[in-house]
Amino acid sequence: MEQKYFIKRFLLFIIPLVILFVFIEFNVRKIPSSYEAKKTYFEKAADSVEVLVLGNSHMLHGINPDYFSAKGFNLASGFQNYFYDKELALKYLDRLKKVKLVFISADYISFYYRIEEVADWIDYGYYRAWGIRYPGLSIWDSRNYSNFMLYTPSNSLKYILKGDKLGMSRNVKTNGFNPEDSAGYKERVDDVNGKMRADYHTGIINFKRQEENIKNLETLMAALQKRNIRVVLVTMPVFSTYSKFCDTTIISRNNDIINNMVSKYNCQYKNYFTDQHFEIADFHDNDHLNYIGAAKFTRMLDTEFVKPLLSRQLK
Amino acid sequence: MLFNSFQFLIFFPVVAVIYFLLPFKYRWLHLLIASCVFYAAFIPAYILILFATIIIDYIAGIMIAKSAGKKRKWFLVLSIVANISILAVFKYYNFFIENTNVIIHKLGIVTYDLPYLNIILPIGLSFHTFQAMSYTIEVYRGNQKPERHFGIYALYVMFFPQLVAGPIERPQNLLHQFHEEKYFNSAAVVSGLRLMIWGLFKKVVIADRLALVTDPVFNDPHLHTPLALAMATFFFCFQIFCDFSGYSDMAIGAARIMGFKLMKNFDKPYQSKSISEFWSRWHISLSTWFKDYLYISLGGNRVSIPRWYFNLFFVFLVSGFWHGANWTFIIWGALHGFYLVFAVISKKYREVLARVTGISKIPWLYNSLQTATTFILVMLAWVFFRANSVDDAVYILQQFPKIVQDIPQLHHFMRLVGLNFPMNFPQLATACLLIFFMEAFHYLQSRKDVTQLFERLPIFIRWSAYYAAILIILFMGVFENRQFIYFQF
Repeated sequence: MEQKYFIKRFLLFIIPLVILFVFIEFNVRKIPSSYEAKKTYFEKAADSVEVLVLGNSHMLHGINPDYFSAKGFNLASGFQNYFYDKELALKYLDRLKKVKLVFISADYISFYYRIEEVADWIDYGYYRAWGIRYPGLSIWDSRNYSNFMLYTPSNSLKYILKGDKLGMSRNVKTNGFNPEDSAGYKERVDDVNGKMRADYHTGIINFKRQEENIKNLETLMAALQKRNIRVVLVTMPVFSTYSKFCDTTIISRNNDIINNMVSKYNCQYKNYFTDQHFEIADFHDNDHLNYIGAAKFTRMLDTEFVKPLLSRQLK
Repeated sequence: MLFNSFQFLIFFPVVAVIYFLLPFKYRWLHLLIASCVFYAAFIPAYILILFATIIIDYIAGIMIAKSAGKKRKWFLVLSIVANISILAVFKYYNFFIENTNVIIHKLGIVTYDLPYLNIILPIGLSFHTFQAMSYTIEVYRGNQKPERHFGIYALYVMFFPQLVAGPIERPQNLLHQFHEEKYFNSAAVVSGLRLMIWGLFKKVVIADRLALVTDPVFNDPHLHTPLALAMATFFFCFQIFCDFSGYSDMAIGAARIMGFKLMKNFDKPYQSKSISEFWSRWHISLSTWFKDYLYISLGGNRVSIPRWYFNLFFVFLVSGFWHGANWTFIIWGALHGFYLVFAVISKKYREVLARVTGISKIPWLYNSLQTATTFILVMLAWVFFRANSVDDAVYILQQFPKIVQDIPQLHHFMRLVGLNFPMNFPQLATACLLIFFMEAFHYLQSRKDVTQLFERLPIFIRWSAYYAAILIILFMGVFENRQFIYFQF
C-alpha cells in the first residue's frame, strides 16, 4: 500500500521533469551543431569538390577554400585526428570523384592523441552527426542518445533561449571553413598564453597513441593513392609565442615520421610552422590563424600546390 | 561507475527496485552481483584483487575465532600483512622504487634503474582494504563474531554505495544489516533521495565548478599571480569538501533508500575551532579507523608525553601516506600531525594569551578567531595535498605573502581566470555565492534540525524546492564525467 502510494507520488513528481527534458531535447535537436551543419554543406558539395582539407582546428580556421583556384571544401574540425580524417574520407570516397588534391594536417600533436583523452564529447559529436563511431565508445553514455546531454544541460538551455545566435554552427561557411576574428578576441597573443597553450598541447601528447594514428593515416593515404589523389601534408603556421615553447624533441620526432610518410606514399610535405610571412595581425590566438591569416595562407597553398596541379592536368 | 553518471542513473533505480521485489533470501546475492557490476565498470580485471582480499579475510576471520593464544594473533598478522602487501604492490611499489632509484644513484651504488611496475591503481583500493582489515581486527578483539556466510562477508567488503570511496564501515555497524530483512519505507526513500540530490549538488554544481579554476592554476602555478594562487587554494578547500562529502552523501543516501544505515563521514568540518575538532568532523570513518586501530594500538595518550606526541604525529604521517604514494601527501599528513602536537604543547600559553587580552570574555570573537585560524591552517596544508609536486607546493606557499601587492591588480587575476577555461566574473561570483549558501545551510543546521523543519512544510513548497534543486543541478552543474578526487585513493 505504502509502496503503491509512493510510486504514484513519485511518478507525479517526475512527469514535469520528463516533459521539460523532452521539450528541451526536441528543441535542441532542431538547432544544427557545427558537425551537422558541416555535414549538410559537405553532402551538397561532395560531388563537385576538387580540393579537400582534412585535419584539426588549425586547418579549420586557417584554410578558406574560397581562395583556391578549384572548388574546395574544408572538412577539418577541432581536434579531428587521423581516425576521423580516414573515416570521413572513406565514407564519402565514392562521391569524391573529382577530388585531385587533399591537404592533411601534420601538426605538433597530430600523431599522439586520442580524442577521448582530450575532450570525449567530440567523439559523441561525430557519432551523432556523421554516424562515425569511435571503437570502444561507451554505449552507456547518455551523449549517444541525447543532444541535451551532449551539449550539456546549461548550454542546451542557452541555445533554446537565444536560438542559434550563440553559434553552434553560426561560423561554419558553406565551404566548411570556420573563420576566426582578429587577435585578442579570446586569448592574447603573448608569451604567457603562448606557453600555456604549448604546455597544454605538450601535455596531451601520448607516445602510446603514435602507432594507431600512423596506421589510420597510412590507411587514408593508401586509399587516396589508389585513386590517384595527390596528398600534401601540412604543418600549419603558428605564432612565435607558441612555437618557441614547443618541445624540440617532439618536433624532430614528427619530422622523422613525416619524412617516412613522404617516401613511403610519395606525397608532398610543407612545413609552415615558423613561416616568417605571418605576423601577429594574421592570428586569432597563439596557434590559430584568423580570417585574414587564413586568406593569406590559402593563397600560398593555392600558388604552391593547387595551381601547379591544375595546370599540369590541363596540359 | 560514477555516481554522477548516466549509467548510475539507470543502474541504481533498477537495482533498488529489484532489491525490494526479491524475496529476502536472494537479496544478498542481488546486491553482491550489483556490486560486482558497479566495480567492474571501472576496470573489470581488478575485481580479482578484491576477491583475493575477500577470501583471505573471510578465512582469517573464521580462523581467528577458532584459534586461541598466539595462533589467533598470527592469523590476524597474516591477514594484515596480506592486505598491506596488496596495497604495497599496487599503490606504493612504484613510489618506493622511484625513491630508491634516486638514493642509489646519489650514492653511486648502481647505474641502472630498478624496474617500475606498469599498473594502474585499482579504484578505491585503500578504502576496501581498510574496511576488510577492520573486520579481522574486530574479530580478533572479540567485538565481532566471524561471518560464516561467504556471500554476506563479500557483500560487506563490496557493498556498492560505499565500495570505492567509503565511508569505511565497521563490521559491527554494517554486517548485521545484511542479515536483517529490509522493508520498503517511503520516508527513508525520500530522505535517501534528498541526501543524494544534496550530494550531487555539492559535486557537480560546487566542486566541479570550482575545479574549473583550481585545476589550471594548480597544474601551472608559475603562470599565475599570488592572488590567483591564493584564491585557487581557497576554492580548493571547498572543492575537496564538496567533492568528497558529496560522494559520501550520495553513498549514504543510496544505502538509506535500500534500508541500510551507513556512518556519517562529514560534519561541517570548516566550522571546527581546532585541528583536533576538524579531524573529528572530516572523513570521520577514516580518522576513527586510525584512532581505533593505530593510535590506540600505539598506546594513545596513556603513555609518556614524548611518546604521546610521537603517536599523534605518526598517525597523521601514516594517514598522509594512506592518501597517496607521493611526498605531497606525506607532507600534508605530517603538517596535520605537527599542528596537533603544537596545539597540545601550546594549549596553556594560548589560554593565558586569551585571558590576558580579554578575548576569552567575548565568546563570539574568540570562537570566530579559533575557527578562522583552524581554517587557515587546514587551507595551507591543502596546498600540499593538491599541488602536483612538493616544489610546486613550496612555490605556491612562497607566493602567499605577495598577495597584498596583487590586490590593486584584481582585474589581472580576472583576465587570467577567464583565459583558458570557462569562468568569467559572474561565474566566479556564482561559485562564491554557492559556497556561502552551503556554509549558511551548515550553520543553520547546526542550530536547528533544518531537515525536520523542511519535512513539516506544505507539499507544494517541498516539491518546489526539489524541482529547484534538480534544475540547479541540471543547468548549473558541470557534466564532464569528472571523477571524484578520493577515487584515486
